Amino acid sequence: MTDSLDTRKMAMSGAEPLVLLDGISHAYPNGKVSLTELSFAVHPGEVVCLLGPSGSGKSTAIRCVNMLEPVTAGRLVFEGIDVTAKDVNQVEVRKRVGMVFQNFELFPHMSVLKNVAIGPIVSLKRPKAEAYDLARELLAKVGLSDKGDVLPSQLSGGQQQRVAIARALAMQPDVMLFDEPTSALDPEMVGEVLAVMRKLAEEGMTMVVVTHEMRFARNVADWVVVMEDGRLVEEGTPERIFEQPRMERTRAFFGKLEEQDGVLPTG
Amino acid sequence: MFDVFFDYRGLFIEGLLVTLQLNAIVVVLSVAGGALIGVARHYGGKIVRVVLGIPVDILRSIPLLVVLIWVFFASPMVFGTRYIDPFVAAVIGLSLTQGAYISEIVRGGLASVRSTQTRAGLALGMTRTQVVTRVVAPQALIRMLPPIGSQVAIGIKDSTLASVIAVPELFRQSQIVIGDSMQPFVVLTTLMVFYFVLVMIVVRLIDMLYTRVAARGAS
Amino acid sequence: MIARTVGFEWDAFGSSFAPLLEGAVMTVVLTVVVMLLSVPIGVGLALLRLSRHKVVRAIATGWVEVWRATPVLLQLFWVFYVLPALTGITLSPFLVAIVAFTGHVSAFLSETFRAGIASIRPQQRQAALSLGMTPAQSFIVVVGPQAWWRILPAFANTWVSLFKDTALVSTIAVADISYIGLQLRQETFMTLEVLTAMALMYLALGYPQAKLADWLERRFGVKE
Ligand SMILES: Nc1ncnc2c1ncn2[C@@H]1O[C@H](COP(=O)(O)OP(=O)(O)OP(=O)(O)O)[C@@H](O)[C@H]1O
Ligand SMILES: [Mg+2]
Repeated sequence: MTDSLDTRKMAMSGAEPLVLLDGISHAYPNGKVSLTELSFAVHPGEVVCLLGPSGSGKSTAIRCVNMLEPVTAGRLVFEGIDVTAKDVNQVEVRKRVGMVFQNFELFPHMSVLKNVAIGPIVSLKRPKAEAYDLARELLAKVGLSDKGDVLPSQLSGGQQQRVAIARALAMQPDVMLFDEPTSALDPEMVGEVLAVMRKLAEEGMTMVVVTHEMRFARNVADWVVVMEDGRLVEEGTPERIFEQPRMERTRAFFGKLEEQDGVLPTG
Repeated sequence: MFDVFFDYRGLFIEGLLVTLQLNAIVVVLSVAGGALIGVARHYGGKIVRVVLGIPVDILRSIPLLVVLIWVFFASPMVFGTRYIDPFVAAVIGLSLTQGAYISEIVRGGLASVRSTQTRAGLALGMTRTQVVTRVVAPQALIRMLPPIGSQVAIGIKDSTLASVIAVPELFRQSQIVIGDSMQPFVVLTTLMVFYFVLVMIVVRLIDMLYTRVAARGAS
Repeated sequence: MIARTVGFEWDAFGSSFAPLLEGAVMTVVLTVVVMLLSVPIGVGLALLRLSRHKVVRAIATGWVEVWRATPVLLQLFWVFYVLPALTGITLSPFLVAIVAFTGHVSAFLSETFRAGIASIRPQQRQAALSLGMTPAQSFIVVVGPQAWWRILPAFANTWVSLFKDTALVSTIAVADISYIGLQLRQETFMTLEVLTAMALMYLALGYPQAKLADWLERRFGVKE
């Protein structure tokens, strides 16, 4: 029973992990240790959800994958290449990794369409016309084809986050990182963003998602990683983690969530 | 090398005292005057705001040097007195200019307190005056602290301009010493250090005061 | 001083403006030249102050603090008297003014630029980097343009201050508005008329600038 629950489809297929965190540690300049020997893998086409209490290091971990934070120890392997090696060009890695932020971080001085097109134009040196065509296509995909000409500040939070997803997709990344993409949203807007993410997952996009949306983790994730205090507590399929958490700290974390929201997604 | 300060100590001590006196008087007059005008312009209605705005804008558009020169040389002719004491002229010129800037800071500080704060006060049954003195003014005062501090620092630096109308303040006395001793390097560099330290002390004191109360000013 | 009893000499007042206007050219040239030099130097200083290296940061910050916390009149005299003694280079009064004011204004601008850049939250830079931009590109495309609107009001205020501060060059005999006004007063003894004309000259030039700076402050200034 436990065995079948713990099967990791993508890993079983024998594919190399797309992203591998191999015992990475991280500390902030002020000395605060945020990650300690953290390891987990993300395989192509997989949706990995990172769960854990506030301050457990989820954001730091996801920023390390994008090399926005420098790891102090351990290896970070991206598409088979150890990118913690000295001579690796961080910019080249970031071009292939998309990121969606908690507070959207759209560029307020650019139109929505330009926000989506700016990555290909500046980083990939694509012709403008081509970049704008792609941007229009992606805005349509997230259901905002009529909003291209307005400024981000004129959109609702949910709309802004969908634009942010389109902006990251415009780089045609190999993996998408989401850092609590729905935490800054009013409840009625959470659904529209999760729907876009679910569609992406169905299309086979590789995704790493930090979230407090347990229902999303339960239904969409292929693999769940639970963290606390910068360490991995346990990892497994969502069925196994939610139904048979092995670690006391995982149970405690779920218990707190239940107190707050009164819901835990059961089967 | 530093003998010059001992040899001319009389001039330097007089200069130091005049500089400190001048600044002390100007701070008191400009803060009091600026506060009065700022409050009047914020609460006084359109006519008061526009009328009091004229001298404020004039003073903010003209160099302090020109204000000082005008007060010292020209204003006695307007008032038929033929002569005005340089120190008095410096106090007037500096206080007017500093006061104009401070009045703008006060006005901006009062305006920056959100109107919902006033409504909240009124909703608690306070009178308009109580809302101003209990709710708006304390917050505004805290927010004004940093810009008023910078303005006072500017005033200290600008007090050297009084030397141009022969007020025997520190910079003026130093120029006399330089002319006599031919030691510009030591004197001017020491003077730089002196003003740097004085300005830093004022800035740091106000910073410290502000950090202690800052949280109470953010509604 | 010649005592005068009768009122305002309108002729003397009116005829002051032509020479004062020549001084105004010098005032404007000084302001513009100093500003053109100070903007790139100020940007450079701001970047040094945001540098990763502690020593670089400390030196740049110290340099800026000294220029910001000492009187500009003293700076003018220091460059006038001490620089030649130290370096053996004697500058013309005009160049003394340019050097001293550029030191002064670039220090103030660097603080404005630094604060403007620091006011853009770091996630904006991270968002740009995550789109594969280089650090330079994320500054030029994302952080810089946003910081610009925060910087503009303070920049305008520095401009107005510089315009007024240039009056100090009259103390080292650079023929700007105030120098010519003071000369004219000595030549004609029309103290009230000449000095009032001089003040009006500054008002005519300074008032629109001050109002423009106020407007920029209202329009783009950070509230709360
Ligand atoms: N810039 C920083 N400097 C110093 N410490 C930091 C910084 N950012 C985060 N930390 C600390 O590092 C630890 C991990 O933070 P991180 O933001 O990764 O946690 P998180 O799991 O994302 O939490 P949350 O759910 O609140 O977003 C926390 O203790 C946090 O206080
Ligand atoms: Mg986080």
